[in-house]
Amino acid sequence: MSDAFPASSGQERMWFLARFEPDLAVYNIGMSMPMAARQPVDPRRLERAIDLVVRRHEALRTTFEFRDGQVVQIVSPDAPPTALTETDLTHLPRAAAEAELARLARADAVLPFDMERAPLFRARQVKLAEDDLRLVIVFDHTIFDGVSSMIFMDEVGECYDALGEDRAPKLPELPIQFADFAVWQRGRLSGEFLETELAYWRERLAGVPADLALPGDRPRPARRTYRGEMRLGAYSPELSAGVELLAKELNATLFTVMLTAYAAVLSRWSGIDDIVVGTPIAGRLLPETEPVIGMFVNAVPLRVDLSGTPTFREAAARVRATVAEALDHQELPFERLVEDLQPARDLSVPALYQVMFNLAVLTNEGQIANGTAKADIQLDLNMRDGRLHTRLEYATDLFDPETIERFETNLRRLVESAVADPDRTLSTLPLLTEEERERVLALGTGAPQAAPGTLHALIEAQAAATPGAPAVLFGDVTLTYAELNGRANRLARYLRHIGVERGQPVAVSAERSPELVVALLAVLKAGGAYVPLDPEYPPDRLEFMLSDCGARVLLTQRHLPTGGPIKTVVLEDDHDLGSGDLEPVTGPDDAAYLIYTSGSTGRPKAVVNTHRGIVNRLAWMQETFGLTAGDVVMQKTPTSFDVSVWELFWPLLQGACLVPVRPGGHRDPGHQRDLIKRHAVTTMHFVPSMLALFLEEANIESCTSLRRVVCSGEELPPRMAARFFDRLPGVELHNLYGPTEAAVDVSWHACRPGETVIPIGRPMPGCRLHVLDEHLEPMPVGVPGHLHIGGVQVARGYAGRPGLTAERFVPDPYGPPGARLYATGDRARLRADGELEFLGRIDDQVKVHGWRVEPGEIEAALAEDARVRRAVVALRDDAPGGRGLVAYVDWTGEADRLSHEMRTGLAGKLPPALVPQAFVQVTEFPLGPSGKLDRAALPPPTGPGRGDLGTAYVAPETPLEEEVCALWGELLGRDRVGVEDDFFALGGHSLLAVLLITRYREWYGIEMDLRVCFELTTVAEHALAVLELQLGDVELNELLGEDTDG
Amino acid sequence: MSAETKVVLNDEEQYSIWPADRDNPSGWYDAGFSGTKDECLEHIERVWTDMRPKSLREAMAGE
Repeated sequence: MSDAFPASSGQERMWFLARFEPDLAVYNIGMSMPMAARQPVDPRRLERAIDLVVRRHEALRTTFEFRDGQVVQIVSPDAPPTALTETDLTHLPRAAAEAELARLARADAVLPFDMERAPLFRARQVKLAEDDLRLVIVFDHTIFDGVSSMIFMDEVGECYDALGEDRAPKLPELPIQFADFAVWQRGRLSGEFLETELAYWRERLAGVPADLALPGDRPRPARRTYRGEMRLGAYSPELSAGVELLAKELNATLFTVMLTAYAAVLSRWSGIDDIVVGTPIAGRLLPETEPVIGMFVNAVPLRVDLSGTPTFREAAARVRATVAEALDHQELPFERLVEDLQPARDLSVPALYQVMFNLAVLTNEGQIANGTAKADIQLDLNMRDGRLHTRLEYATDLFDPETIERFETNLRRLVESAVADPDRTLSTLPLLTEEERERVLALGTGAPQAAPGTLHALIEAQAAATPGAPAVLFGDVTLTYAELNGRANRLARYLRHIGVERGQPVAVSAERSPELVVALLAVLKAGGAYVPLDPEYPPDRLEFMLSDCGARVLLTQRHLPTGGPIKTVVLEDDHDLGSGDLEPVTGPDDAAYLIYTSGSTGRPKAVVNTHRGIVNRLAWMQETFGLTAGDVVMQKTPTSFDVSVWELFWPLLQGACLVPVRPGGHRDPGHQRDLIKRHAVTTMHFVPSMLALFLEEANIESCTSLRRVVCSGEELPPRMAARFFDRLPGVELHNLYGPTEAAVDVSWHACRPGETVIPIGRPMPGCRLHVLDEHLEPMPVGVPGHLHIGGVQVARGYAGRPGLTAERFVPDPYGPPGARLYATGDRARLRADGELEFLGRIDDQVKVHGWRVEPGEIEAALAEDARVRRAVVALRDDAPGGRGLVAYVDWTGEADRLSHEMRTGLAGKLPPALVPQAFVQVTEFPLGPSGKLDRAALPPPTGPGRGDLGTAYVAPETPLEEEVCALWGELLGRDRVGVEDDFFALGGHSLLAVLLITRYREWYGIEMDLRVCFELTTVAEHALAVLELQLGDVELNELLGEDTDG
Repeated sequence: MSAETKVVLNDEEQYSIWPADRDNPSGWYDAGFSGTKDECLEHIERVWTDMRPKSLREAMAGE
């Protein structure tokens, strides 16, 4: 007769996971047993030896069942004789046989066990040669652990020898069995002891980050697959000895030293200094448990605090204290901790910790990978033969093998530097080897810079070469190169006449027109730097800029307001002065233009850019796109944005034709389409926000002259690019990146159809783009950091703002002596292929309910729905339910389905905390003067009042519906909730959903999955779900009740 | 403590700031002022009165 005992909480968790993921053997423990000392092995004797061990340990005769609502372990008094699966590989050459052995071992380890059928292990003997027999054995973790494998190997060896010598095996008596321990543990974990332990951990883990969110190769899927791989490595004997010596010097264990290093690398990768690492604990505090096979192991979270600027020595001391304290509270099973701290299961993220660490007693060489991973990354270490061996198990949901290889080398490098100097600040210990550092810096370095020059001299040369060619086409007006150059020369002479000198800022406030082009060119010819002021700006802002920039002359049009006391030149006036080119007074290092940027804070500041920088930028463009005299470039960007600089001057440097869009026409996609067709435009620029509008314009397919579209200024979403290639097949799409502080653009990526991520590309010639940490050290490939720009296009600074200039333009450790880097304030990461990914503004990173959120990530997920034309996600204080995310969606589906469909769609793609609290339908997005999205002007989400819900009040009909209505009303702070009301429309969000589930558990004794709350969102639906869950339990119990006697 | 910052300048007499405890990158020299970051930036606001690079300043003066 079998005995039934309650399962331990660890066993229970594994049992549930096996139910959820029946095809995956996440908790298989596979190993190959070293048999070298006993060759040639007699397989029959080996089977009998295993039988003897099975007879000794109840765990090896245990199975599991679900009875009366709980998981029980069934211990069978006897077991069938072991029969090894036999495989003969003697016919294969050595290498092929080894490979086949590895394949077979993996196949065995991949196969899940049926938890109700004994035995929960499988063994295979593989004969590689007559005198080389190997044993591959795989156990279910529910009956086995790391210490068990040592016991198992020792005992099988001893039994094998004893059988050969015809004696009784010399093995210790087993005072208890695993089930005894499970029962004892259940009794111990109750009452005051349980409460004290829970209280300790609650306090210790308060406020831990919900997700370490290591930068991987893919975003986290909504549901983890547990698929994984592993990577083995070994430190050199010198480094291994160095680590042991360091441990001795720090009065710490090898475990502490390596955990410190591991946490340090995790911190650098994640940008978080509060690192929670799980570690397995043997769980055999009672001496009686030591010789017993079973699942004693427990997992303990180690919360490592790396805040401040600790040295390695100081950090190791913190880790040592953390470990010691955790060991004092190691008895509480991890599962109980999770139940207490994170009752709602989020199926996307491992609970409490996402990374694990273990210094294994057992060699990890014999462990067989089976394509699963229990955490995002798990580092197993093992010191053997004087070398520290590493085994990294990682989730393939997130990481590619190359990324884990980089993690491994980053860790090794940090360990090396800690060994060399433990008193160095942790955050300054190098992660990169010297070669890797050089390689990363080289990836960020563009080709050599172009020949220097000045814009006006290059245009003068072009005018001399093609005097009769059309330079500017505007309505019915055509200016040839000779006419443009001549008019600009006359105006320039006048400017010099009224006192404009080399280096002086000259304000130009004019609408798009031939006069505007003449004015800008004339200022440069006179020796000045032009300061474009958008006539559409409010008067206050114009007034500020005019006085701030220090201009003494303003060029403007007759119908525009003048600039007060300043000397004003009306552009419609032609001056009776010489038309020949002027004697140049400026060189490449003189200022060419001052353009104001506003930034998020402070007053606007004028960025001073040089001829050298912009000439280099235009040379790249010409080299890349090869503009010819036959090309026509649309000029639609207001001059107050620096994109206009290339629109205006690039065609004029190449003999091509410039077509300014009429005033206001930069906001009119229909007009732009007509203009393209009328003038056979080949080249134009869009800010993505404007491109989105253009791509929805009718009949743009008729723009057959269009050759290339250049985007910059905002992130270019992959969906928009796909739409582009769909509507404008054959037209090139280019994504450029750069701030005003670095001559328009510094990186370029040519988009291809089908890209899922659109990078900002590689550095242009003469430019360097470095992703750096706070010490200006390069970040490893793939790890986000602060993007810095170096090279010839870096601006001179902010006019009249020396302090701000010194703060943002910093000494460049990687350029020529005395060079400066511009700190962009942008987050980016370098990909292995050398392309850069833009990750948003550093200041824009928002935290919602403990999660770090990239609004762009959510926007991308929303945009995957074909009915979404565009989506913008913002963090708002006025979101229903309190501060949280609001999604603004331009949606072609049914209006009243937006919230529901978006929410259920996102629930399958994102962790619940990232699902916005409100969805607002919009048909257009507020745009600033540059055509970029104006986030501050987004409307507030609909208020919490009943009238805005869009649904009428429907009274509850059943007592259950009444209860749920009342419960919702209480949680959401509403007087009256109807059965058709939507939880989220009422202001619910993921945290409130967790509370709701907890209440359901208390009231109805049911376990509703958090995900259900995102799929079923009305009271009526919830009431039904509650009922089903209650009934489901009854039915299950009835069925199981019939079985219990069997 | 690394919170200490110093004022540095290059051959073009362009100013910037750098951690006081770190060696200057090549081509940068101590300007003889250190303090908090804000103090350094305020100092620069006072002393960096002509923001043109030195070579350009000299070329223009020589005209």
